[in-house]
Amino acid sequence: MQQVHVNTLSIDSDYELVSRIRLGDDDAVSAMYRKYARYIAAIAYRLMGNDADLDDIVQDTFVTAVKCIGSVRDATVLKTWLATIAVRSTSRYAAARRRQLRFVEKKMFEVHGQDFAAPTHGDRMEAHSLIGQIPYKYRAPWILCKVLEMNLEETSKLCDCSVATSKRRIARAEKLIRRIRDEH
Amino acid sequence: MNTDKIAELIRQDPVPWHDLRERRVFTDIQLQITKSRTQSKTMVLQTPLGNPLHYKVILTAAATLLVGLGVFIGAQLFAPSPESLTSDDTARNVDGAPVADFDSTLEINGVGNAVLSPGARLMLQSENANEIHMSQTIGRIHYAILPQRNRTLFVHIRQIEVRVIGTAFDIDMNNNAVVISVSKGVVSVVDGKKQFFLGARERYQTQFETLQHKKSETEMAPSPAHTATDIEYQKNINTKNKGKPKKIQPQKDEKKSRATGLTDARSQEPAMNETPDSDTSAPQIEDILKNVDLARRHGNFAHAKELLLQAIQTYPDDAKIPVCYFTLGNVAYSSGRYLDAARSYRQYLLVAPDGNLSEDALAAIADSLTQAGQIRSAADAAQRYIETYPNGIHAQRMKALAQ
Repeated sequence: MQQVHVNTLSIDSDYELVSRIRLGDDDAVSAMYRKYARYIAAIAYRLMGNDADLDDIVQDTFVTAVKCIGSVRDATVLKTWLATIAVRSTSRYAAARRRQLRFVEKKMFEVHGQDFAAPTHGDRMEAHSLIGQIPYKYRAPWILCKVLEMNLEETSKLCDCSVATSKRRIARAEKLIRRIRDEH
Repeated sequence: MNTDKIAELIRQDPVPWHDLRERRVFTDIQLQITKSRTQSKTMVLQTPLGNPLHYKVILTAAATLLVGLGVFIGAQLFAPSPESLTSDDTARNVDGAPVADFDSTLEINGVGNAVLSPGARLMLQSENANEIHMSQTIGRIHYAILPQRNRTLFVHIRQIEVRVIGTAFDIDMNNNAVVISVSKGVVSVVDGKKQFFLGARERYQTQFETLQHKKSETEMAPSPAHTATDIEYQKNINTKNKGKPKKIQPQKDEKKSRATGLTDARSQEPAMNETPDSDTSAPQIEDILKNVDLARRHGNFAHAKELLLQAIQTYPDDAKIPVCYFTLGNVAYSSGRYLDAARSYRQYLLVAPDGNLSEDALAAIADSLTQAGQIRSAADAAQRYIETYPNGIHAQRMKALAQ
């Protein structure tokens, strides 16, 4: 079995991290991962609502980051840049997950003859279930802003949209949450 | 359950991210990065396989390469190479055998190329590690000299020696005359006792002795100095004013001299105002200069020029020759022949680099080139003046000119 080696090299400066990764320094990759893996995992987990694809999303995020490190213009915003990649990766996984869920629902409807709803246990799971039914483009800004408590500017940057669009999508997400809650 | 409550519940849910998971994911990341780096090395070959557009680009590039290769091979097969022309033409020219009846390129080893027009002859006189002496006997030859050459090329045309400093020039020679035209750079020409530089777009034409006599007969009363050597610029041939004496404009002339900052040689050289020598068998240089002064006062610049050229040719070793060149420059400047003037000032600097008028000559070159519209050359000349005479009397004007 291959030995897992997470380097304990400490590089505080994001600028130095980016510079060394550009030069192909594997230790710098390890340092970046150690510094931001938990943050990226948190974002991915909140956005997805489950940890089924969490490993894949984190992995995709860092692999993409290492590949595209040359495109980083401002090394001081490495954290935001990684988060942006994570949000985009999560978007792809969420879309795939949504397709899978629709397929399962369809099959369950064919078998049981009624609408299938995933069993929920407790308020936390119910909250996740509720949020999971909102389309990703409304869910992502709402979670980033309301759950991860980012400001509108950060939210809009991570979602690749304007501040006004972020505001509108957050308002739309809240409206959808209320509607789904009322329907249940 | 309102939205704030839902957000709070989600926030309280701990992220299932622990060290073991972190290490496991990192292992996968390392593997994937290594794999992608290995792939990137072969990406040039692998990437096009899936994209038809890339096939099209590769095919187009390959076709272009093949066509280019075909043209190159064809040129090699059907055109004579410079090496073969070199040996062939040199041998025939040296032996005096019939020369090529088409433009041919002669490669001069370590110097550059000579393009021989039909009928031209070029012979190798001598060569060593630093110099190569060629003799052009007839015809028109274009010399393209390498900027970074190993040896200095000297071209001899009868009594004229052309030392190549620049990079491209032509020598057109027939039985009666020779014309040296410089298209790029500078060449040094030594014609008898005269030595001067020819710059880009400048031309030197001289006629041989046989023609000189014929011309003298046909023109009835030519000045020997004028017919022997006529230095002219291709850009500055002024046929309208040739031979037409101008009105007396002494004030205008002086005014122009003041305006351009040129110092009149008359005021600086007391010998010009001295009485001529008692020996009257041949005109002394002082007499000639006095006549020049008189001609200038009367505005007869053409005559002044003839007299000065006569003095330069008759007394090439006289101590006043530098003043003649300077005065020649002043005459040319007053006549509106600014390039001619600049060249005369350059000749002054050449024969008297530390003369009393060197400072004025350098400034006058800049002024003349400015008047001729050669702003860049003028700026260079002005810069040379500033470097040589930082506190000179023309320094302020030259600084403005250099900028």
